[in-house]
Amino acid sequence: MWEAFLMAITSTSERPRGPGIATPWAFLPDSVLAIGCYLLAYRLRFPDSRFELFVSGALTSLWLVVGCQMLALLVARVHVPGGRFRLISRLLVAAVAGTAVAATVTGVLIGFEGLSRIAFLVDLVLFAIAAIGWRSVYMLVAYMRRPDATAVIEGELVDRAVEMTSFSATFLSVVRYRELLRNLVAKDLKLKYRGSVLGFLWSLVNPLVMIVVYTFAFTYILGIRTEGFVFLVLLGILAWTFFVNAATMSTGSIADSGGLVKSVFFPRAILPTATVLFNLAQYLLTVLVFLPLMLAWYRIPPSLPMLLYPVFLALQVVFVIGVAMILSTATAFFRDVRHLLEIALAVMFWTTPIIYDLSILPERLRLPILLSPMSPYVVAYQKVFYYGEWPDAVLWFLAMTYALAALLIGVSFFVTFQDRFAEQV
Amino acid sequence: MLRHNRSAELKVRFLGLLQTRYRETSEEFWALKDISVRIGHGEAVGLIGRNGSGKSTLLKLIAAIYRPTTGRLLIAQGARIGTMIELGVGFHPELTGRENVYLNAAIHGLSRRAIEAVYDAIVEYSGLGHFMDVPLKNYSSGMHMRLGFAITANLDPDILLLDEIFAVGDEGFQQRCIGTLQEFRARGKTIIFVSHSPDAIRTICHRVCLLDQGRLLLDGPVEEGLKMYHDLLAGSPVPV
Repeated sequence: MWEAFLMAITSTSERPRGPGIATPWAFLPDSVLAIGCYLLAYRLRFPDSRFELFVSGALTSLWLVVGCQMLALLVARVHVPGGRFRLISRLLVAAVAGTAVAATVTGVLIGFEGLSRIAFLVDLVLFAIAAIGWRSVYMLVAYMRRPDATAVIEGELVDRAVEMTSFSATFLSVVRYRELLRNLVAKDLKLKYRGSVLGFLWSLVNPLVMIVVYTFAFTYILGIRTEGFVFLVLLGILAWTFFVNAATMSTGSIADSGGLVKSVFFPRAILPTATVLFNLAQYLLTVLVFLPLMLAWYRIPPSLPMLLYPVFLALQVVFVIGVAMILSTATAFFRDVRHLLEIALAVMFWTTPIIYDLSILPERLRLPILLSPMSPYVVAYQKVFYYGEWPDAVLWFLAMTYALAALLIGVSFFVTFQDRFAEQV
Repeated sequence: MLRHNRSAELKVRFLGLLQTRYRETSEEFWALKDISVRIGHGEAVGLIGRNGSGKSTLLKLIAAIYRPTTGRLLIAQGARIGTMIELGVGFHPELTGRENVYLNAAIHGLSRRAIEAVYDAIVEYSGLGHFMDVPLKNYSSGMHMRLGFAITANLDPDILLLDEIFAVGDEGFQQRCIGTLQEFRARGKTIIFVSHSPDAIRTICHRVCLLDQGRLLLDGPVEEGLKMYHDLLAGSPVPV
């Protein structure tokens, strides 16, 4: 091993562009997915026997809806090459516009007799996820198979920048660098309460005060006499706080560690993951203290569905990690993300059934509320603990879809953009 | 690629429609261009050049922090790279010296057991045994440097990348650093060293690369490189 390394920086070729996903062929998977999403939307809207009543209407309007959506994609020129962020934003606008036009046209031509307006909304969400989702997978595959992706060259010499930013290395690094992960989480936990007298007890004071305030507010101001309603609210609030803190912190996990990213090499995926795990640790701490207390206080008997709590929590963690990866990547390039997130979270707080119970809503409003990204998880916690019921199929489907889609899109974004972080922060 | 008036802001887009002055223009700028260097096992190479000549960029490329726009950078498989590119990076001011050592070593990929094994050596080397329980914010910049160098030196790297590290240390510690580097060299490790100090280059390196405006002007013996660098600073014409 005489040669430690060799380097050659030449100017012979153009900078290799990111893998192109903009080809006219993209309309093929788009239209197939659009058909699937529309039918799935009806299935989700009518999980019971009413599905058979509505399926004929769905099929007659199917071509119209898919046609409008494809037309919108065509108008938004998603098949024309351009920046990837631009492509995603155009795709989102096209999905919204296309579905809105589809709903209007269907209403005018066919009328809403035998059709469901809610299904259009469901279709919109599913179609947007599907369209971005398959592109992410494609982007990741293309990235792994690009010509300069082969890391090992000339036997014992290796292109380290390529090797370490590959997809598999990104995953393995989280395992290999678990000591760093542990240290980063410990650092944040230590720093949060260092110098304060009560220390980590502060994490418990916050929910405690919330319980008192909510009990007072709901019982005496709003006059809600439902037994244990505060428990229901608290389940939601804790899970929601975990999500909000992780999402907000993750916007800075790349953008605010410029010094580190610029001068030491380590797998970048560690940073957003550590942010999420830090917030998870805080969440678990409060849950471990308050959950048994509340269960005992409101005399809720232990039931079998409670065993599902870890499963849904795991799904939520996967979802949050995916979201954190998307947000940390996007913030590295556009600082607007922070402001956008702030507004989105304010809206989502009310579209998620946290301080109200899903069952008080009119039947047709429940599914739209469930579509809000955090709703499936919050509702699942309320189901297993407050009601002692098994979560239904729609809940399972949404919780798993959101977790998987967020992780897929997040990892794809993170992996394909991470070699540009050092230039951007 | 260097873009002037680069901005994602919509404001600039609109202004650009009205006045050419605000329009985004782009110019190709290569921080490094047409550089081909082979550095063998056990060599000590000094990188010299004026400010902005691309020395640090080259180090960061080697450390895989940046990725070359085009071209390849190859490193022996399994070689451990130790970097000392910026002072006190990865250090957190609120954490104590001890906690920072653990965090910093973890950033370089060490397992907990490996860190514990070298911890005493790091403390001993830095000579900061008394201050390991003190938050780093109370350290002087010289103490920062001592700790940083002590960590890098004790991680036993195969390739050591150093950028301008002797600026803040006192003479005693500087001597110690140079001693360590010479010992590294004797043990057949590879050192790549950025410095503006001719003396440091002379003591450590036996080969220099002179960079100017992103191009490699010279790759050769130390004295020749230093002389050429000196001429470059003096503004006299340089034979290319």
